[in-house]
Amino acid sequence: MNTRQCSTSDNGVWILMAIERDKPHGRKQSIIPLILAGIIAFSIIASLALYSIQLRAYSQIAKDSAENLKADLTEESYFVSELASQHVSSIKKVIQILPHAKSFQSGEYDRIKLLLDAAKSDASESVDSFFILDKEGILRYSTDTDPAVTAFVGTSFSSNEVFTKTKDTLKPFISMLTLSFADNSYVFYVASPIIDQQTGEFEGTVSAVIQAETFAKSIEKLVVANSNDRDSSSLSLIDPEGKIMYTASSSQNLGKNVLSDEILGALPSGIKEGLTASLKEAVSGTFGIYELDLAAHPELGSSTTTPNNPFDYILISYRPVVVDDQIVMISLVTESASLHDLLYQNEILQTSYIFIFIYAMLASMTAFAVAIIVINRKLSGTVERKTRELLKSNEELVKMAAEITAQDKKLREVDIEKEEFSAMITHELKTPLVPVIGYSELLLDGTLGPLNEKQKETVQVMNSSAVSLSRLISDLLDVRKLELGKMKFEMKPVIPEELIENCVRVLKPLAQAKRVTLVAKMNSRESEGLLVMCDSKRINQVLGNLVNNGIKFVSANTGKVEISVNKKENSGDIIFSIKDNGTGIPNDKQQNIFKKFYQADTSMTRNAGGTGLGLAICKAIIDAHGGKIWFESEPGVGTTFYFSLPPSLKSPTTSPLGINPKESLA
Amino acid sequence: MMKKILIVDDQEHIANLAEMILVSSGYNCTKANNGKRALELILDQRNEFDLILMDLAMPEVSGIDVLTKLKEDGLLDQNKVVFFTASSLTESEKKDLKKIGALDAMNKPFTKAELLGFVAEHTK
Repeated sequence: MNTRQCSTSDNGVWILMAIERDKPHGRKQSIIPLILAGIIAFSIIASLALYSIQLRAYSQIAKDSAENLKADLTEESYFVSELASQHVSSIKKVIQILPHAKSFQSGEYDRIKLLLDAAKSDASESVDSFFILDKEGILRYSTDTDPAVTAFVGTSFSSNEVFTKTKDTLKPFISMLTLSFADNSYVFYVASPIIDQQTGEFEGTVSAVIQAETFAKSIEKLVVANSNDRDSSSLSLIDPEGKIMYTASSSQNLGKNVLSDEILGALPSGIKEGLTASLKEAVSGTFGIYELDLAAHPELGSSTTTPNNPFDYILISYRPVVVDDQIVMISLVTESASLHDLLYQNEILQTSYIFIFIYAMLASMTAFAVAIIVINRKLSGTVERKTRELLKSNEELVKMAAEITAQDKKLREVDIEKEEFSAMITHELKTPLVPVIGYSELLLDGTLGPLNEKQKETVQVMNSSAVSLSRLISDLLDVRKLELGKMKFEMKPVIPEELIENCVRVLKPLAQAKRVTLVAKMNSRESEGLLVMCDSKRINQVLGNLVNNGIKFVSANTGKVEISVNKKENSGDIIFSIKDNGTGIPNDKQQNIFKKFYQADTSMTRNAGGTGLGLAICKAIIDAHGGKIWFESEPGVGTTFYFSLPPSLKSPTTSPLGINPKESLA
Repeated sequence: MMKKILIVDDQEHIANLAEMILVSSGYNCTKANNGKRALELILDQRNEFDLILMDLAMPEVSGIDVLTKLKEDGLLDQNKVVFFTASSLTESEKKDLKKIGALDAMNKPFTKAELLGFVAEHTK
């Protein structure tokens, strides 16, 4: 990582980060729940808003539907009333034309009779029959050939409304619904006075008998033929008094008053008042629509709706049928419907459901997106911050590593210096010892002339002290190298017996001088072919050290040091043992003997010229070989030191005694 | 015939000690107290040394310098050089010396026996 780049280019961001860090931690944490709560609230409000909007749309659509329905009904009502009016008018015209078409003379009934028959054949569809009353009101003729009717010819109808109205007003008259005098069927009359063209005198009344049912059906036929396929609407015609002239529901209701309980009993109670008022208006000449929304008037009761055909909306369009300023009848077009059905059939509403769904989806998606964005920003902020913190930590670590490396380098340099210093010290300390040791030896062996005993003894002390000092210096250097890990080992496969033989050869003179037996105990069969992997010079040093110790601590004459080598059965390690019958190591000192400068018997050591470093060096060398060193000791009986070395499967490439056997051993 | 040994050491008493030991054992010794003098003696054709026993650390011209010079001049074949030093050489350091042409090396201080053994081995 380029730490320099990081620290220079991100300065601005560091400041931001610092600000961000200064924010109270608790507040940062409470923002996310707040956002979530906000999203939920937003969703609820959005849903409610959408719901109310949809509700308004719903009622608007309902209103529109109702308006459409009303318009349709009004149109139909107009149509019906117009048809009825035209029908009646055409009949009236026929009747009016009849008297005027001829020069009507009193008593000329035969001619009128012929005309009536002709008219009857023209208007046979709507007119049941024509009849003539003379100026006295006596039935003179009827086109109806039914005996029940012809039986009345000659009978006076002078008190009949048809006669009195036409005679009194000299104007055409259209009667209310009435029962036929002939067959009890509901009929109404369209009558016109007969007036003498010359005298202007009232000569009688000509009237058409119109069967209500026939009349209504002819109109209905026309309505159905001309209307859209609105089969749900029903047509009714009533006379101005409220008597039903025609209703699609049942012909049994003919002549009954539309406001009677018999008719309205099956309808919602509120309808009676509404219908009464509507009819009043119709009679007074206005037209309109009576509207009953049962859903808006629950008090009207659900008994009005049947499970199979539920309706909650009733519309009745009413219109007077006017002929010559006279309201002759009223047309009613009724529609009952379920508003819900109406709405549901509405495509707009269906579409709006989809819109509701889409709105809801959009709203939730938006909310979700907002939530994600907010959380993501929050997270990315956190991640960014953490990343920067990590980068900073990393930077610090890199700096630290650099410092450590620098320090390590320094330490290494110091180590090297120390090592060089040690080597130099060793060299400088040893050099002055060379002549001391050398000359004292020459003095002792008589090369430089004979010495007396006292002189010899003195020179001997000088010599052995100098040798001790030299050994100490070497040991110190070794310890130093071992501690620093600078001791280099040259590992080679070596025959163990040769190591022992070499050791014995070197130390034999010392042992003999002290009259100590030094034995190499070779078990040739057991150790045959064995090789150890080691630095032979260093192992020689260890062996020499241990044997030297043994020689030091045994008594003269009886002392014995025995070196042997064995193979450990399970691991294959080669075990060297150096056994003596010396003083042994006191129990309380046994655990410390491998420590530096530790001497079990200081007085003895001083006499024997030890440095206190020998065993520590031995242990370090054996450890470095991957071996073990230990001992068994019994005070007064003797001590046996053991060390193990890993075996080698290779054959020796060079002689294990490539080193100089005369080389000094610690 | 007496073996001719050249002893090179800047410390005169060490050179004297070595001479004394070797002479007492029947060697013919010549001494030089610096590298430059040693080179002069070696290059003098009349001197045919059987062994050159030389200190490593000497001012101006060190033992290594002498060895290097001899090697450059192609005189190592007829001159056997061994070193003795107070620097407590390790095996690998000895190996390094052998690589550049020395026969062997021994540590100082030395006993009489050690020195005689060492010299005897290389003058066989």
